[in-house]
Amino acid sequence: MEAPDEQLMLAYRDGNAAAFETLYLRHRGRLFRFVLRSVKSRATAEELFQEIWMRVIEARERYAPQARFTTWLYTIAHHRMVDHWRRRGLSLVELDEQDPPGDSPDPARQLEAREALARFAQALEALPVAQREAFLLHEEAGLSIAEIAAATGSNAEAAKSRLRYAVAKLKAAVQDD
Amino acid sequence: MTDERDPKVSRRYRELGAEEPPTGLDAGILAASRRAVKTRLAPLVPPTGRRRWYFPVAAAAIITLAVAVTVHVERQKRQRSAGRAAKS
Repeated sequence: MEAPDEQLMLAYRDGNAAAFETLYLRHRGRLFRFVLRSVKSRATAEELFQEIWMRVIEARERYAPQARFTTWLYTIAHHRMVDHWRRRGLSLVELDEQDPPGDSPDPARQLEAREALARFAQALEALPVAQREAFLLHEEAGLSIAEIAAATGSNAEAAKSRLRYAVAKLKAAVQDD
Repeated sequence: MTDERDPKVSRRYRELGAEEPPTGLDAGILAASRRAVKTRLAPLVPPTGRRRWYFPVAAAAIITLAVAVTVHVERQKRQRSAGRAAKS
């Protein structure tokens, strides 16, 4: 059975570097995509991603498992993202170099799929920051409404409302296809 | 956990891709995590058991080394000045 995140973080706090590696490998992909879909460029996403983990490392001595590790991690990420948005505004990563999914060899259908995906990405990009963040925290990081509220310093009602608005707008973008 | 996901939205979101950080970035972060635990401050509680001997032994070794180096340097100085006196 795998060790829970909280146990690994406590082990790292107490000097076990291998525990951090396990924890990092478990969360790197989701956290990276959360950051990447919140900023304009991959280079910026990499910089922010690194800074978030550095903050986790720096904060290890103060770590106490009062909530899920994931909530704590995304609370740190939220604060770093807020700093970033305050300074630069926001945008989504470009999709220019991505191939659309699907196994259809038909170029017309491929183009259609690519356009549908681009429309979805634009709809995600067009969401207000708080709604997009709530969506990414739920969809990518797997946080519950209560955990989104905790990570973003809001209340459950606000978190739920943001998430519902985001999903409704994205659903409309999907149904337009 | 209340799931507010919509299956179509989730599917389309996944289609955006599963990007991952570059391996160089992984290596840098993991190296920083290891450095951080290596450079931890010494504990405020005095060490006990076998670790009690580490500091006195290390201090004695450093002092012995310092004395040996000083004696060696002094001896060399004396030999050099004796050599110069013999030449003149």
